[in-house]
Amino acid sequence: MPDFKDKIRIRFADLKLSLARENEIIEELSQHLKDQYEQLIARGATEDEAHQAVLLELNESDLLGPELRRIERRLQHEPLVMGADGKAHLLGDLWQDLRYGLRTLLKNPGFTTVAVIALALGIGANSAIFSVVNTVLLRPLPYKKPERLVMVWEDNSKQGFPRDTPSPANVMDWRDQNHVFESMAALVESSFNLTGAGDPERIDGQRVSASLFSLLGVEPQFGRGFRAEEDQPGGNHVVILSHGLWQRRFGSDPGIIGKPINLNGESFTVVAVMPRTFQG
Amino acid sequence: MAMSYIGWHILDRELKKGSAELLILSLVEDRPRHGYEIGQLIELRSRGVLHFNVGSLYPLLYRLEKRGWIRGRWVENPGQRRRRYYRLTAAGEKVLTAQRSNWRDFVRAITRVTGVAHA
Amino acid sequence: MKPGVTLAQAQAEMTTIATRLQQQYPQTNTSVGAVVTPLHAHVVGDIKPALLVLLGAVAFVLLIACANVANLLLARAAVRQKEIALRLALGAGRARLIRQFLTESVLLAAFGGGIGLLLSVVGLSVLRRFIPPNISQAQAITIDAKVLIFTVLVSLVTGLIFGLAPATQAANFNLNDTLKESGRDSAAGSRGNRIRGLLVISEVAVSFILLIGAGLLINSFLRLRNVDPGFRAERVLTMKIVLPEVRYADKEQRGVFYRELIRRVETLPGLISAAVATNLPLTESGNSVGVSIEGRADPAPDRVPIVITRIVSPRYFETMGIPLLKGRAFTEEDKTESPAVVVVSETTARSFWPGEDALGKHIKIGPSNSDNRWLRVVGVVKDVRQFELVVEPKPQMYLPFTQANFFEPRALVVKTNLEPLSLAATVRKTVWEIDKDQPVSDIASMETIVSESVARQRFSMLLLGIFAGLALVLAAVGIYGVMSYSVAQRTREIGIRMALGAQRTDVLKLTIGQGLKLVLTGVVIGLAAAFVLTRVMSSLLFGISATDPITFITISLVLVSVAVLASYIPALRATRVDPMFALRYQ
Repeated sequence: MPDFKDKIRIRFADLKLSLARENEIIEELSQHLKDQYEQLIARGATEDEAHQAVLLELNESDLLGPELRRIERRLQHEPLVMGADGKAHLLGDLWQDLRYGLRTLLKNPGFTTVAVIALALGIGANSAIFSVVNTVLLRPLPYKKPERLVMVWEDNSKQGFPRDTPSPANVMDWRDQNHVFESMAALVESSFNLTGAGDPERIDGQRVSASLFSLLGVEPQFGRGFRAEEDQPGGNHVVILSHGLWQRRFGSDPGIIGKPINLNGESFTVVAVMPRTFQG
Repeated sequence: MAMSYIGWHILDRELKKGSAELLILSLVEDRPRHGYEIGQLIELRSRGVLHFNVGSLYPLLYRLEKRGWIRGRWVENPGQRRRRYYRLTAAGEKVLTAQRSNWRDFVRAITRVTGVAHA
Repeated sequence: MKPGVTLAQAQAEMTTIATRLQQQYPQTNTSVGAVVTPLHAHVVGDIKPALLVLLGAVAFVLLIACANVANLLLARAAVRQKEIALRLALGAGRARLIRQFLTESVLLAAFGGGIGLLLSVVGLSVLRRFIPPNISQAQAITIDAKVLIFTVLVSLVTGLIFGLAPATQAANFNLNDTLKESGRDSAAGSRGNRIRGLLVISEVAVSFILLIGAGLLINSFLRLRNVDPGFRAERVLTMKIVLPEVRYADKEQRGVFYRELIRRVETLPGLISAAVATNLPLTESGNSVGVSIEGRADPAPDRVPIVITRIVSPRYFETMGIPLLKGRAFTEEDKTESPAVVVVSETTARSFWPGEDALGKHIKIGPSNSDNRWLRVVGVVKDVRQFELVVEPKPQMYLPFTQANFFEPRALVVKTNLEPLSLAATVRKTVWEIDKDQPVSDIASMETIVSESVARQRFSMLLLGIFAGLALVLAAVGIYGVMSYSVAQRTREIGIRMALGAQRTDVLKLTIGQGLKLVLTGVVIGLAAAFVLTRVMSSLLFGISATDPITFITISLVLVSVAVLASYIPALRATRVDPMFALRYQ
């Protein structure tokens, strides 16, 4: 009579059952296999055939280990979780709940996978759109008191331009007559032909009044802001460079201040470079 | 018993298991039997449709035992090997009775419905 | 603004000042007001409605995902009833059980949130490419601490929402019932079925709303792409060449430069014709002027007809493929000193001289008593969508660059035989041969300009389309799951029916009918909700109403077919139930 105990024991190697329980199960299973073996012999099989058939049956039982693990583990651990009500153990309970929950989830990989994928898609979509909303709509502008900054436009709706660039005369009147604004600065989008070293280039810029930077609460990275007298017509052709242009076109030249650059065929003196964070 | 309802094959297995559980309960109702005997009887009574090998039968037995519906005990008969016999507990008996009456109600109900529909 | 001043106060003050200025300077300031807008709104631009719609859409997607997971949990709760019974019997409190269930669902949501965050990082890198370029800060979009907190909160709330129903259901069931029964046919089971049905209905309803939204946007976008811009963008290369006034002080110098440029470019191989113009269609606002019409009294200052004005060189219409409807285009003979001429668009012709021939009529820029010359209409061309594809063409006119002295051409357009961008370097070199200090910028094919002009619409369409598709898949999975579960529950019943003579088709009808009932209920509810909700996105639509019947019908059909398919597979399984197996059940 062959002994099947060793063959069974191998399958229990990583189950971590108590020794007594393991021996008990092994004994019961090997009894079963012996019964089977004997019956096969009684029906006329050779010893070899019977042995092979029984081993085949055992090898088919690839679920044996995992199934037993589920049943026996639960026996060992579950009582720990149960009936432990009471605030004193709240944290310990939570830890147990988490471990128990994790085990339950891992025991049902199909369910868990489908549920996690569905949730990941749903939550992922929300995070992505929220990060766009967060950056574009919610993040405050990087200026001083951004909530108190407003744009004032000329309203020429009758002619189809509800937000028109105001005429300089109107801006002056607005500035002198209002009581609601702390300060007012004017700007006009514009672009310039930059020539000199390298290919001639068209760059976007703005013509601004001197008060703009102090109104926004931004300081140049180095150099100085525009002065009030430079607001006057025929002022002395000064320009402040963006950080990007300074890096790209002028190779981050630290001695750029005071140098002339050619814009639209006229010479302008660089008085400052803005910090990287400032985006007009 | 854990079940994901995603795949039919899993469902199928679970259903078989469920019916096998009841088979086992009814097999040990009149007298205690050992594992090998139970396996043989299931195969016999299901006319060969349900075959449980070692790997599925014993986990089932342990499960039922854990639930307290059956209880196993080692019995040593003179001249024989030591065997583990399972008998139905009081709780198991309740489950079995409830399930049987439930089943009869169900069959009656279905017959009433389908009897009209397919007369 | 001063501290404590509200936007409304600032606007009121500015309106008062503007009114005072109107009375003071009626000539220049009639009907000139002042608008105050938050700087932030200016920076954000018009993407806001689209983003809000998208935010709603992703919330809907998450709702569907929640419904799916709740369904899965319900199915599992039914199966786990024995486990619960055992734990209750052993003295675990119900509150404790609910907490255990919630811990599990929050754990699930945490996993989902973690993986979701990874997905959003990947998604954002793709998304960034589709954000319209005129949205500032678009490239600054990152997952920062706020997004992380948002994700954690959403995951937590999600876990609680989809976990609560199964948890309370599991904890409320009757201990005795479950100990007696197998748990599959118990009262708790049928209550579970009702909840599952409701979940399917809401999934269908919510995905219906999303699909309608996406359908409307896709429909709008297709219409938008089919809008005739009034010109032919194929194989047209464009670039910006702005002559600095300092170096090209007088008109004559500029004229020489343009003529020489066009002459040289037109001799290049692969180039058919070239022209210069002030502004290209669909790029920037461009110039408009008030005009007076010969033989009519000047209207009040605020009723002066405004005409979009383009200053162009002779072969502009040919190069841009703008059809000439009547009369002639400009020629080399339209010199500075020759009689002043103008080509108008059909809308101008129709609104200025309804029922009359526009050719030979005269208009003047500015009031009729100004010193400007009268311009004779020599041609009528098709309307061009100058500002945006979505905006109906307004009156417009074209003047020869030799005769106009207020706006300067800034753009070069070239019609080519080849892929337009392949000729960019050659053309630029030609510019530098004439003037080595002249910058050339904004080199783009006209087709790119057209496609960029609808970037905002493409952005919202693409995203809403993706989310609606996601919703459809999730809803289909949900329906499939519920139907599978219900078929599994009814295995015995189906087996008995078949044993008693029911045909496979009867079983199919029975199960699909059950699914269809849920789906149709969902569609009806979704229909009603979509009818109300899609109105919020009417500002994103073009050419169709928010309740476009064709979209509504198509989407209903799509959703119903997907739903039928999702319940057909489990139904097919039901027909494979072996009657003998079902009967042998006990």
